[in-house]
Amino acid sequence: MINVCEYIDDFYVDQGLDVVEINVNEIWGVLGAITQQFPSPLGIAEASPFKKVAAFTTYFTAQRPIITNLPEPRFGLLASHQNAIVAFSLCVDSLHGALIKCPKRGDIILKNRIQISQHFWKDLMVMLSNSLPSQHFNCVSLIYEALTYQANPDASYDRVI
Amino acid sequence: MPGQRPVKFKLLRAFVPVPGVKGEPIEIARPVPAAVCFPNAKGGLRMVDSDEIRKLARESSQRLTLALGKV
Repeated sequence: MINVCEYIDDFYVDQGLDVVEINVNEIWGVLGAITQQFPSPLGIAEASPFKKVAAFTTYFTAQRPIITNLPEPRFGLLASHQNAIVAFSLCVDSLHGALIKCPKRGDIILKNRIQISQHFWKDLMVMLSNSLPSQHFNCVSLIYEALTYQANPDASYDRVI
Repeated sequence: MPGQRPVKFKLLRAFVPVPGVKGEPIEIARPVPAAVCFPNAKGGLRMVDSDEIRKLARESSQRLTLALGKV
């Protein structure tokens, strides 16, 4: 909870905003949903980091806890997509350096940070803004996984199909 | 019990959940472990402390600013 609020706070401070309005109850709802209603039968303890960040992203964009828009001169039409933008940013940061514990391959550290083009980012923010855990959890998880393996090709399973 | 202790939380510069109390220290019970956000268990995400998460947020925000210019 505090981690998330601190992240949002400094993200907005860096964008030059003095005040960001956050619905704290919705953030509690996101964190509670991740633990109590994790959208995979694996549960949060056994899920891969990609499923964890997908759960966070989809619950966050569904609950929309950040009320204040980002600066329109910089973000244009995406200024009102602040929940997707912050959620994706936080998840990319948390995947950087994450550890995959694979029974067959051992521990794998995701050394490289996800990087995408501006064009991809814009379309992805539009998509994530309309995502729901019940419908888009698996799709979002696969996007995170694909982007992570693109940046960390050695971490990927063998591509055999 | 880890993750259950109340923590002192000073409201942040830009974080105003309740109008008029910006800057006032409050105490929030923490029933959800912090590791929910950055769990280091199986398939773990990176565990970070308060200073690092602020640094990450600023770096990501700056990265977006540089990349976007204007969308």
